[in-house]
Amino acid sequence: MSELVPKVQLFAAAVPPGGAPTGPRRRRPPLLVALAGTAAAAVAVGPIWYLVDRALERGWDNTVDELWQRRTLDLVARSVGLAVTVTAACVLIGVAAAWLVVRSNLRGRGVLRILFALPLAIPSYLSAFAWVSWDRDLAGFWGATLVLTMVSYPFVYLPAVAAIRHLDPAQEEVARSLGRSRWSIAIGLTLRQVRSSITAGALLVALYVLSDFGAVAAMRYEVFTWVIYGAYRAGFNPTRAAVLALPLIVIALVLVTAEARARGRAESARIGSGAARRGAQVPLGRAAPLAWLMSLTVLGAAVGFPVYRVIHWVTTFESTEVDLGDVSRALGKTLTLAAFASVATVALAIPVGILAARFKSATSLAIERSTYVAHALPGIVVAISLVYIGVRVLRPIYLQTPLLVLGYVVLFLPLAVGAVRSSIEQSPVGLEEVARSLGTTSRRVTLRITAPLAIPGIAAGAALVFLSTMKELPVTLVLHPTGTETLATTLWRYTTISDYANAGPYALALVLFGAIPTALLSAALFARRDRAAPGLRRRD
Amino acid sequence: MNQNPLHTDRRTVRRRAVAVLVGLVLLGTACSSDSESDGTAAPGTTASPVDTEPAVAGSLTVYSGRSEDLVAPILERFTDETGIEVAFRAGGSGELAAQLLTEGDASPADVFFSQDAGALGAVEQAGLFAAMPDDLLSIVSPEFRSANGQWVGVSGRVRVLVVNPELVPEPPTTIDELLDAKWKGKLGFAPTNASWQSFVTALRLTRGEEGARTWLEGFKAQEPVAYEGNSAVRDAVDAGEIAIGLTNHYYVYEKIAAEGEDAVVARNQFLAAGDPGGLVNVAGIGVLESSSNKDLAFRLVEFLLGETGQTYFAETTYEYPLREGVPVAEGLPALDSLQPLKINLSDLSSIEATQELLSDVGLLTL
Amino acid sequence: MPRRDCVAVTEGSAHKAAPALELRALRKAYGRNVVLDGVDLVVPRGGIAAVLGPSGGGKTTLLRIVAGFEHPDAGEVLLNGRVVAGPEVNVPAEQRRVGVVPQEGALFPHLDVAGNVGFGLPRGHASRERIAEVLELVGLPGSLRARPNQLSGGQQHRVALARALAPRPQIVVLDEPFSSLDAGLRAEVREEVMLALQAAATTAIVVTHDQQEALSVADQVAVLLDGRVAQSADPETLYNLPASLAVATFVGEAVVLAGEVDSDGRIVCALGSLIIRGGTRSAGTVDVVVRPEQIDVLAPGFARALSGAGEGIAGTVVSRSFFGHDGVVRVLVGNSTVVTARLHVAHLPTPGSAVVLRVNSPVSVFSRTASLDSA
Repeated sequence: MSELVPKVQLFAAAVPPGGAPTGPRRRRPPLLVALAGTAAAAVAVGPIWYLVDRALERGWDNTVDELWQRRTLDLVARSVGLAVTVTAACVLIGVAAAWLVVRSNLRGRGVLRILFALPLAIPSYLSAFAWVSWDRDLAGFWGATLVLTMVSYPFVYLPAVAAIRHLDPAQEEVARSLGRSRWSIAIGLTLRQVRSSITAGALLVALYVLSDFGAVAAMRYEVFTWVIYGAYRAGFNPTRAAVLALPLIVIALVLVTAEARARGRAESARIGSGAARRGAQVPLGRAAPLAWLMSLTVLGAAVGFPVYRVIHWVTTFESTEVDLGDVSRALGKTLTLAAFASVATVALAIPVGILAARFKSATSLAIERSTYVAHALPGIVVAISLVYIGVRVLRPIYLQTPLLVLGYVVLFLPLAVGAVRSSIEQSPVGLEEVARSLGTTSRRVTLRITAPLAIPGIAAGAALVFLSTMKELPVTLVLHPTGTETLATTLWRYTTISDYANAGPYALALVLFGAIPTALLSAALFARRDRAAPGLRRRD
Repeated sequence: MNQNPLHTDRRTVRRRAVAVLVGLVLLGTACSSDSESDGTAAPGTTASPVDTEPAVAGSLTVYSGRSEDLVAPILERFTDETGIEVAFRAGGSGELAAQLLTEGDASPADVFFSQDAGALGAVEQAGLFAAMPDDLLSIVSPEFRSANGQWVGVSGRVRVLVVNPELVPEPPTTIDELLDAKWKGKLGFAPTNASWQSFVTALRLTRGEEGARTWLEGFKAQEPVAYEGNSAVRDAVDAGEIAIGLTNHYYVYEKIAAEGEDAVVARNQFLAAGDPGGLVNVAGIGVLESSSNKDLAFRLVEFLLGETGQTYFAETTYEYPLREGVPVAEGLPALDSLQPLKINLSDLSSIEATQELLSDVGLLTL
Repeated sequence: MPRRDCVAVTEGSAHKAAPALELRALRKAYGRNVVLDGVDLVVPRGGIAAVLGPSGGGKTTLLRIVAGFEHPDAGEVLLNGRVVAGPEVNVPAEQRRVGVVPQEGALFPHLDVAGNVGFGLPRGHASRERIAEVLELVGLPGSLRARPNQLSGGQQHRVALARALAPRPQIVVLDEPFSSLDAGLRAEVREEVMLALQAAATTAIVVTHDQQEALSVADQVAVLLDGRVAQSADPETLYNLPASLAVATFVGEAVVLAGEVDSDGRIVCALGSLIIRGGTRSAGTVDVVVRPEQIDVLAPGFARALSGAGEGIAGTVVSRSFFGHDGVVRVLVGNSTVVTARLHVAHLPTPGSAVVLRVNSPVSVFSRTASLDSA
């Protein structure tokens, strides 16, 4: 094995710390990639353009008046407070779970690996309703924190697993030989090195929490999304909703910028890391039962309880007959839409990921970051902005599948961009250089080397988009082609009239069929190592 | 010289890229046409919701804040009688109003069927409704339709107290009596429910901001229990968890219809004449000015206000029919006998100010 | 193919006599860190040249500039007489026809051997023949369908070389090609790679920090010290006639002694009066470089028995190291000078023994100021 696992990547030493080679002429990205990346950014920024346009419709004064209020400050505090708390909890749970399944000797970790990702299949509104209908005293900040943490910790767990698996065990061995205990290594060395992966996941969680309405609505916790929905539902005032969404954009920009800076620092500090061998399993000893208890608690709260509640509804209210034909039609439509959304999103995410990973510049970073901002916007805002753009610019596809898919792209682009980017960053830049020295143009290097090597990341991104699309409600409700019903819209239709017996099968189908791509996603994550480049270390 | 033509397969790559793009576009089109074929509400009509070229008898696109399960049967009867197909888009009344306001003149909708008057008022204010013909307006009494003749109520809902007779032998009949110390901790409500918020809006409109705030603060001091919906309030009253709940009138009738009169303990208490707690809100309908099928749309309005339509709502939803002479569901007091509060229902669109007041008092997010 | 005509480097008839590679005053800095500080180098066609330098000495940067992955801050790169990088020119890597063999091989993990080797070739029958041909050349015929992870380290290397050779590049550059292989495999793979390069009749540049490797594989060795080419010469000249003290100490082992040139033009130092290679040097104190194998270690009695016995210098063995094929002793001469001598293991004296040292061939001498200049 030893000669199969050489050490340093091609020419790595010549690249100065911090990333891109300096020089008077930086390599330019292929035109096609640059254009596609710019197009992706334009799509992602579309809703923001609409919001600013709308917000300024009545002039700056109106905008300032709307926002310059004590209430705005309260809302910022509540939204940010919730985002921070949930993100911290997700990091804690996600990283602990990842460490347990990758590096500990916990029995049954093979099963836990897959189970820990399953909450991706649970919609936040479903989990929230399951909890609050069981005990209405859960409503409020802590209820919202519980539900949002339970549905979004996999966004930290999955990248943390990938990063911990790629660590070089030699470093841990050195640390042990220097007298550090295994626990202090796990915290002081292992976790520090996977920081940038965790930060990327934490960003997605924070943005998601800012945008989520389902959980805060059920938990009656008044944050920005709440008042934005209120502006539509109770104020019938899209302009006011647009104004109220502006602070969310600002918060998102701050988060995205902070994350990008943290990422830059972390990378420059990690030159020459990478792994050849798998790290030894850390024995848990007497902590094993505790680890199991904590794992089961998380899984029970995140997956077990909501599923139990759904089954409870189905069995308790059996007054009406459920038409399985309707369920399967809605399922088929849901899966079709999710497939379109993941293909379209990934197609746009690949050029953005390539630009961000391989052609670092102020422009490429701006393009990448711009795809994240819309992720902080509530679905209804994205939906109404696409109505605005749809009737004015894209009239032929208004209320048609392509526009709906465009809405999913706007919402879920960052999920795919993050996965593609990190996957490209992990494949050695040297391969591309060799390909160029063989006479291949940049564009064809992208097609023949970069893209194929990023396939695991592309697949993971596609799976995330697929899952998120399955669960998506507000955009689907506003933009669906007339007559189309998905699992989520049907679920919504029955729950609005409190018909839980009929809603149950749709909820179950949503969770069951969401569990399949989730399981594939985590299985792929654990198989990825074996496809790694022979004789090469990953770059960062 | 050209031993190493490094770029010969560039064309192959480009050809493949084009093929992929074309494939994607085709898939997209396939999907949208696919969705047309299984449109359950209106087969054949959704093919072109954009250019509303009328078919043989014509077709209508309805934006409906009322749920499809409730409205679909009566719309089917409309299609049977008139041959006019109906494409149905469901959503929250507020979201649909926002969508209509954003679409403006370019809306593919012909008709907006709203769950409550507030959303109709917002669309009316934006000037998007066509004027209703007088013969349609005159079917409904003036307090249940737009003052400007832009929309008309289809069915009415009355705010009531749901009481548990075992716990409340002598129910209160005004909202101020609810502030009596003996009801402390025994009241229930659904803080995010639109009807509750409509009631508070009516309270604001009748008593002014300060008057409303005073009552709400008194109510808050009673430590009312918050539920996620009116059904949950009703069930809590029925189970004796609380004594009195503030809901709409039909929740008790729905439960009785489902479980039988003997199985249900909870009963409605209608409020005294003119009390803001007894607000009557309506579900209503308006025809969009931008519609090219206004004639067909008015036929739908006429149908819903006709005997068939009104009877359907009375019997299916236990709502009050708004057409003179159509009987209410069994067991309901006549609407006239309630002598409800008189306000302009279009003014109920100021719900957002209500939400701010509720939030301020601390009743929105208990 | 209009695009290639304007930029691709071709072997135009006007340049038939030009060297394969010429670097002129190449400069490259990363921020304040000057990596290349005016590098001049000429590599004639058909030979194998080595660029030898310490780790972090800019060797890899040099290679990257030649390959076109980076652009020099100043200076020019000429391939077969044509400027490919300079103030006004930057031919992209894909149009330079410089074959690259990276340190670890860097095989494309998603392609099999044939896919890797054929990567730079157009699709077609001719290419399939070429793939077979270069695989034969590197001694791996018939392993077309193997995946990179099924190959040993040495095999991966040879596939990487075949991949670089397949499109018939103007020049092949190899970055520390054998450093990742273990000692046993290394010599063997080195031999095979060098034979293949010779068979392909391609100009090759090997970058290495290993002086033995450089001296044994190359026709010409360029020593890169402090961002400049300190000396470029054939291996014998480099070893026997180093241009500076720095080159002398970097290439091969050296005993450096202080000395003075006497009136006869000989150098007088702790090892006696010695003949200077290549003529006299300036007066005053100079540095004398003696290679360990230039020092004969004799038993005192045996030394006396030889004619001219008076030239020997007496010393005491301090320590010895045994290497199998030969050995090294460190001998204290005078009060404080310790010199290292290499000798056959049969004659390895034990520590404490009295010996006589005698230098058997002319030595290199460097004036101290000159040495400082070149350092």
